[in-house]
Amino acid sequence: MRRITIDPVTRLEGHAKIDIFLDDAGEVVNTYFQIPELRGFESFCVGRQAEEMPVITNRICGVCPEAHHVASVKALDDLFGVEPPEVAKKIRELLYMAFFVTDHTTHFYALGGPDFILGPDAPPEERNILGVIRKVGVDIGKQVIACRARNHHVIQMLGGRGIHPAAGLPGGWSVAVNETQRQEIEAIARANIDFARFSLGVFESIVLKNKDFMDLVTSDLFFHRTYSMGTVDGRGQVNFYHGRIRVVDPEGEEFVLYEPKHYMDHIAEHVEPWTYLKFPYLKAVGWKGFVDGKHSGVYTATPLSRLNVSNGMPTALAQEEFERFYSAFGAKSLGDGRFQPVHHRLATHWARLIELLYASEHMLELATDPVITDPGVRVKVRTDQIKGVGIGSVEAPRGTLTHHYETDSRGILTRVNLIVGTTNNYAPISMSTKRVAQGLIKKGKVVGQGLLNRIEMAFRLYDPCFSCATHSLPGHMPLIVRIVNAEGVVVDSLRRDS
Amino acid sequence: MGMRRIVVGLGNSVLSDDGVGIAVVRQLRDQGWEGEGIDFAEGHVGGLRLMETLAGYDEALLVDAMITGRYSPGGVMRGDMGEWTGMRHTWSSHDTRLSVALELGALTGMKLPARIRVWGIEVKDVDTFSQDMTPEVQAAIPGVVREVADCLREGR
Repeated sequence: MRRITIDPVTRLEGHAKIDIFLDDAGEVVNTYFQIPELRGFESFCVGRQAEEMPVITNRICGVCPEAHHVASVKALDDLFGVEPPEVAKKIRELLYMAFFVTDHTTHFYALGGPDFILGPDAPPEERNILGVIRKVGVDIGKQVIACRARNHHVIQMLGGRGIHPAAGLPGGWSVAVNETQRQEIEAIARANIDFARFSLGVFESIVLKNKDFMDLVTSDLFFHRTYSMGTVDGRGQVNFYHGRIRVVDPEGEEFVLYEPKHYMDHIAEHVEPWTYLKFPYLKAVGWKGFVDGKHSGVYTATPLSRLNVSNGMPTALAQEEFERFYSAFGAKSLGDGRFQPVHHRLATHWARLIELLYASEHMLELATDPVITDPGVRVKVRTDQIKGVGIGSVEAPRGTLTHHYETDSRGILTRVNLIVGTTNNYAPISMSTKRVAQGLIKKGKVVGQGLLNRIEMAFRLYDPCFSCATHSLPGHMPLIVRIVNAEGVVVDSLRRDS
Repeated sequence: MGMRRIVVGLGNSVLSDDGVGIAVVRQLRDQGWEGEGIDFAEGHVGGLRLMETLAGYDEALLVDAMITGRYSPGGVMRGDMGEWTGMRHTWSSHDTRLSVALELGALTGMKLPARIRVWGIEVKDVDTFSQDMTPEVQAAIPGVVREVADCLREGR
């Protein structure tokens, strides 16, 4: 067999290695996407007080500490058997929307967007945010920086700290929002809505109106029919903070709708000998390998899948975009506002921008809700009613994030399990990279930079963040693509130093 | 108004040696260097976030873990930004490199430090969750704390 390995996956948190195995005829038989192991997360946590978890887990990763913080306080609510007041839930959500806005904005302009705005064959050193500015103008750079700054400010204001929020507590939140802050956040939310609409406009003019890009988006190279997962509210619409988990099959039929705390009844994990990271799959369908289709338990948890499972967006402008999205792909209506799932993986970038708009609109709803300045942000937690198990989940930008803690009767941790956004997508990411490799390697012949770029596009659309999937915070870690022939010899190795 | 400086410790304080930059900065802060035009920050990702942290200052002093393989654990490299590629946290794989981020900041009219001085400490274990560092890396801390303090004194 021949093997191809890809190196540094620039613009990807964590480090990875992709080995592509070829058969005697030089065709791709397997693609292994591997990431290094980090040790001792569970033992680091066991023996600590559970209430430390919101400030420990948010240090796992510098990219999405807010998601861990919020999932963690929700797990503690459950553990201590306490229901936070409405205002506390809304403050948590408000911080969380500001986080979604910065995260999705950064992904689009710095990571995912450059592939489209500059084209998939632009030299890698140009496919970054500076290239975007050169092409679209310096004003866009100013807007991205301003968007990040105003939302970081909200996160700091509400979370108590800029990078690692500390204000979440079991039973609520530690600080109330005053009227001056509320007004400031309202203005920021309005600016976010304008920026989200502007970003959708950029996407429309550059991608949707460009036949070559749309051909790429709808090509077989980036197509997988899997189950979709996402959190939905009581009306079946997208929700990032609370609700039930809905899974739909590749045709769009609801497969299951469950409370997040029952995740273990529905999700199992498959182990492969070539990686220590596990592959979650739908228990009731079963693991059938890295394959598409209704008979395969592989599911996806991304912005695209969140749209696929939902009856629509809860806000007006995002709903208009939602309808436009499904109509652009010719998806059939399934009733109740839901459409046949879109399986073109590159459409995830578009879905992410629709979520950006929703997060901005919802931020405005929360900031203008009279309850938001209520001073009663916390209910008292009793230590004599610790349940021994606490499970909390949110939709993180990269997929459903679940925190599961077990404790003794004093609340001392005895077991910790996290299923992070990216982990859900490990199987689809592996399948997507394999599909691209299969499409671009024929009879052992490889197209150099074109292969590398498209493989990167295949996993970048998932916005993978292995720093918490591996429970680590790596800085620059290279990814190497190696091609290994039928004899096990590395015949080609593609590197790219960032 | 005098020169404004920022001291940034980079890394993850719960990932063994990765927290060395944070440890140095916390000791400096404990020594009372904060104030009089000197601010302190802890950073966990490079790229855009780091650039945004540095914006508005005349000079920045960064302390980070590094893995070069050319030094023994605890070995220290010093220099000015621009000569550096091996630092663990100046680069964010989630958005972009610090150099690209700095260029972006400059293009969009942000005020960025004229000088960025860096201390990189060669580390050994960055794969294990722990608040303890390896003894070699721990031993390097007092020397780096002294050097950074000397720089801060000079600038006053």
